[in-house]
Amino acid sequence: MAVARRAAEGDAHARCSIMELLFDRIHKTASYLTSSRQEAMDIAQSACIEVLFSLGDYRGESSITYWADRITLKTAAGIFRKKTRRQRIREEFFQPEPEIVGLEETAGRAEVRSQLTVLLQKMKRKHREILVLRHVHGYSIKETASLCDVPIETARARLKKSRSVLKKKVLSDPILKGWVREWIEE
Amino acid sequence: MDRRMRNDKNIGTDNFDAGLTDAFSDAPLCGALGSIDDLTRRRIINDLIEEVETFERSAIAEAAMKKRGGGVFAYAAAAGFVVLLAAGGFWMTWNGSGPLAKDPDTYFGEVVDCSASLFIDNDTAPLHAPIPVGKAVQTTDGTALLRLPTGIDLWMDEHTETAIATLTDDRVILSVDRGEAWFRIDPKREGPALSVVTPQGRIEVTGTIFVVNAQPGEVLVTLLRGSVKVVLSSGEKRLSDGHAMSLRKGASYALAQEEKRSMHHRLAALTWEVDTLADAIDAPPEKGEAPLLNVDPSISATQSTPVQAPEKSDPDTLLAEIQTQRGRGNWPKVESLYKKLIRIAPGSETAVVSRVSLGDVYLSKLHRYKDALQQFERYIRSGHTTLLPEAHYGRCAALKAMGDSLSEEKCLISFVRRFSSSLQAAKAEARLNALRGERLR
Repeated sequence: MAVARRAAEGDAHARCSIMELLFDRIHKTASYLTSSRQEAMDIAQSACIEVLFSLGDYRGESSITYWADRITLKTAAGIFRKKTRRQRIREEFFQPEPEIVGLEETAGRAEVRSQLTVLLQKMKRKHREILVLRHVHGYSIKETASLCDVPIETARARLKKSRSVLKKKVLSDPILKGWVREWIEE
Repeated sequence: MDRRMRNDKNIGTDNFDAGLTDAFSDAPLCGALGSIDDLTRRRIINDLIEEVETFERSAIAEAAMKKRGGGVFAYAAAAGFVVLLAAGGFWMTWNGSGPLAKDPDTYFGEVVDCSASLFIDNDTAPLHAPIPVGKAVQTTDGTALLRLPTGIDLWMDEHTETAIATLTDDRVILSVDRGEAWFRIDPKREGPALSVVTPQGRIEVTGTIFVVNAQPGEVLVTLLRGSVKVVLSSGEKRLSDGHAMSLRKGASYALAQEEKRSMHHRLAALTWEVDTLADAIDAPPEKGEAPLLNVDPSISATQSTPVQAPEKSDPDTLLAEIQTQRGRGNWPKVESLYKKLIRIAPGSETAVVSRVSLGDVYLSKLHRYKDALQQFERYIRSGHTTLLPEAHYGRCAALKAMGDSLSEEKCLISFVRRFSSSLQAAKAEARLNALRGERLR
């Protein structure tokens, strides 16, 4: 909180500390919200600038990461809104294969996450958003609803729908279906 | 199951939901689209902060202008002032004065190249950052080239700290506080006289290329071209080109051919030409030539380091003895045998590789972490690649043992990026996540 206050007052060192703390997280969120590396960087940078300008408004009522996630979502929504309707339709239905790069990790988990991310990128933005907040950042349904600016019931319904959509996509992917056999209820 | 998910009612947290959370629970910080390298990341952050500051400054200036109600005349005056400033800047550049300080009292020169994170007064410094007088300039796991006005180039090796200690009309004093710094001074330069201070003495400089290597307890000055005067507590001494001097002992010696060759390689990388080393490149090693003066920084200040005649032991015999002593757990003896091996066959593959083994002995057996770090870094600098992942990982471990978590984190980031398929990659990533987790708390 003290660092945020100093950063809001123009302390370059405090601003650098805040960016060191938040940049990776903002970039991570942005990268799950869009399949395009360039667009993810645009969202991340715009969100970071918004964070720096808005530090004076941060009251410490929530964690700074929660506050930054909120700004990232709003920034992403703003950037998506600016796209023309034709561009959006083209991207939602005719998306090129997203650029996914994963680090080598324990066998299986990286591949599962990589494949899931591919499917996630092909979903509608509002479904993608809610799944990212829930499963990548681990927010509760109440926090997710607050971040998406929707009522809790709407968030619940949207989450149920997005999980159902993702599950159908998983079931239609023969390789992924085999990997996550234990997840799928018979 | 995740606490949040247990508390959420009516979601139906079935196996699928739990599986999704599990799959993404340890997603790397880089996200879905892969990582960006550390230098790019830092540049992005610096650019973002600069953009915000520029906007704020212009907003303040605009608000002040409006408050004064200057109107058209004020804007014209400001525009005229800017034109004058630009013209003045253009004149100074045309005059060939080079990158002059923004404010001669506080800045002197700029950063013209850096391969990784560079810090000025503990803040990250981007490329072309001006160098403030009186503030420490530090490299971590990369090198940097500083260009100071009137013909001074200063190249900093990894983990090196320098500063522009003092700047007056007739003298500029640079300091090398640790690490290795290479200086190239234009013989035709005009401007304030130059001195370089180290923890053990001062060097008065004219047109020359020289190297200052400052390690705990020992400072070595090597002159490659021209002439310098070294001022010690015991008096002044002059150093000739092709010679090096230990400031602690005040004694100089002629560079061996091997040393000259090694320095030639570094100079070639910097594109600094030195005629005095040309003879070393063509001439074969001389028979019975004394080996390099051992500038191994792991030698403590209390030990003497005389130039010795070549040893009779051969590397294979020494290696066999090392294995025997390792089996007995006689680590001080193992240390001295490795040093002997490095001393008698300094350029050999066995000796170079031994630095990693010696670093490991310092780290895990003798608990001399600074010495371990130096051995790993010397291996890395040798250009050898066989044990590069081990050396880099050892470096990270040494920094961890020294409690330098910031440097350790930077080292781990570099390691995970370069050696993602190595044996140590998983451990390195786990440690990196742990460090970042501590920072976020």
